[in-house]
Amino acid sequence: MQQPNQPRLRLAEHAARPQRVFCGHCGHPPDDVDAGSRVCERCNLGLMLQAPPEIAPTPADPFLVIDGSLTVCAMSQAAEALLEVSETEAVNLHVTDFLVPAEAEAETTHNLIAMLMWAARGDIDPTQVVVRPADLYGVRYWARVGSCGPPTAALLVLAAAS
Amino acid sequence: MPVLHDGLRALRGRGPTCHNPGMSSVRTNAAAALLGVSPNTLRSWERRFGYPKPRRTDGGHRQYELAELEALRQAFQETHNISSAISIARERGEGPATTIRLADAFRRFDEPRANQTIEESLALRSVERTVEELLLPAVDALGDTDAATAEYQFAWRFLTGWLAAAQRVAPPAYRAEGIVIFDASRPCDMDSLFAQALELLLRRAGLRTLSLSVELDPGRLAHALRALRPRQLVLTGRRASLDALGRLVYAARAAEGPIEVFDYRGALPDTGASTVRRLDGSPLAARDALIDHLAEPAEPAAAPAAPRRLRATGA
Repeated sequence: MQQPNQPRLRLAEHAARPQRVFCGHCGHPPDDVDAGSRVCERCNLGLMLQAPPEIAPTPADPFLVIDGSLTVCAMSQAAEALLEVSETEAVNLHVTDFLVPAEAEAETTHNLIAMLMWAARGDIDPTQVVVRPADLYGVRYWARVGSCGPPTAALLVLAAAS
Repeated sequence: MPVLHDGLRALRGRGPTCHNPGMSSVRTNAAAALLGVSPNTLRSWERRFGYPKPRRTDGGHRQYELAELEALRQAFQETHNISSAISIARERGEGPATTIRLADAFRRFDEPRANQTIEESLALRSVERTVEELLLPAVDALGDTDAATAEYQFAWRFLTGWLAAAQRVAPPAYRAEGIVIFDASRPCDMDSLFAQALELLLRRAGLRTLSLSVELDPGRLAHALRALRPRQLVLTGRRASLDALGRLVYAARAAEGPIEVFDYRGALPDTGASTVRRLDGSPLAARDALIDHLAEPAEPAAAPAAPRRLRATGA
């Protein structure tokens, strides 16, 4: 029986994380958020995805969407230009065909592959990592890694390394 | 598919869609609405990816197959970009094999494509449903205008060969009952294909069957009927006279006693006074009806009336 001064347990309502919607190809948000269209009407080539604001890309950001098998599922227009490959060529190839960790000696927790796999499961908060093009040394990019969807996948957003 | 039904209900009052309600295709506006995109988006995908690939009506309007649209809509839920979704939809064979795809293959005299479409159907449907839902409608779609077109004849002969091959590999009969089919159709008649389809389905149901032409001399039926001992007789095809059919039925009953007679696809004119049971035009429904009647105890039919003899008066 509950004592008078005993604090009560109350069910804490889970606050859904805010999400930002963006096109998986052009990176633009939808013109009408309430329309709920799965396809981007701006570029007609991307599907609408969601990600936390701290990881969601801007239209100018190069980014890749990667699934749990580390296969590229989508690539932004900016990433196509940056990596010099078209999305149709890149899709279904392994992410390490394009990007590899820039720091080969990095600790496991900061390992790019591990982070992508966790992110593809939705088990990671946005994290930063340094990557480089697979066939190019001397060029490094900061990358934000987080989760997006639907369906849940890893989102890797590139920025020029400072 | 409730999603497609919802999408189609939402199109009420938005203008014409498909002018052929019996066909599983829609026009551009309806297709775009089903996918939640604009018509321009659909056309841009067609230019860039070649998918979905619409047919063109005689008036030049695009007609999209509902199966392709549903495959694409489903793929959107499973992937993150358009090209992946299209790739997935394509790998799935553009949805279940459809009558339209098979009819298109026949129109192009493309036998490998026709075989591929049938193989895809057999992966999802039984042989019986493939025959009823794909093969027969595909040939029928080419028109049975007295077999006037090469495309129709090609399709008819293709299906005849396919049905014959399927009969040869049908398992041996395991039921004692036999069914004789009197076929009054001619080569290139759709009725002939339906008769062959019915015989195939009966064979696959374990029954013994014998298909004979109505041009057979009734006096030479006895040996065949003694071998088969049929319980049922199916009349099909519309090229024979009532007289010719009557002689065959009489000869069969005279040889084998009580045989139930069935009319498949209007072999007999509907006089309203016939005691012949009519079967549904669908081969599957006809097969089921025949089997159901076999399960009923055989009714002793009245002995066939002896031909009237001339008797000398006792003067």
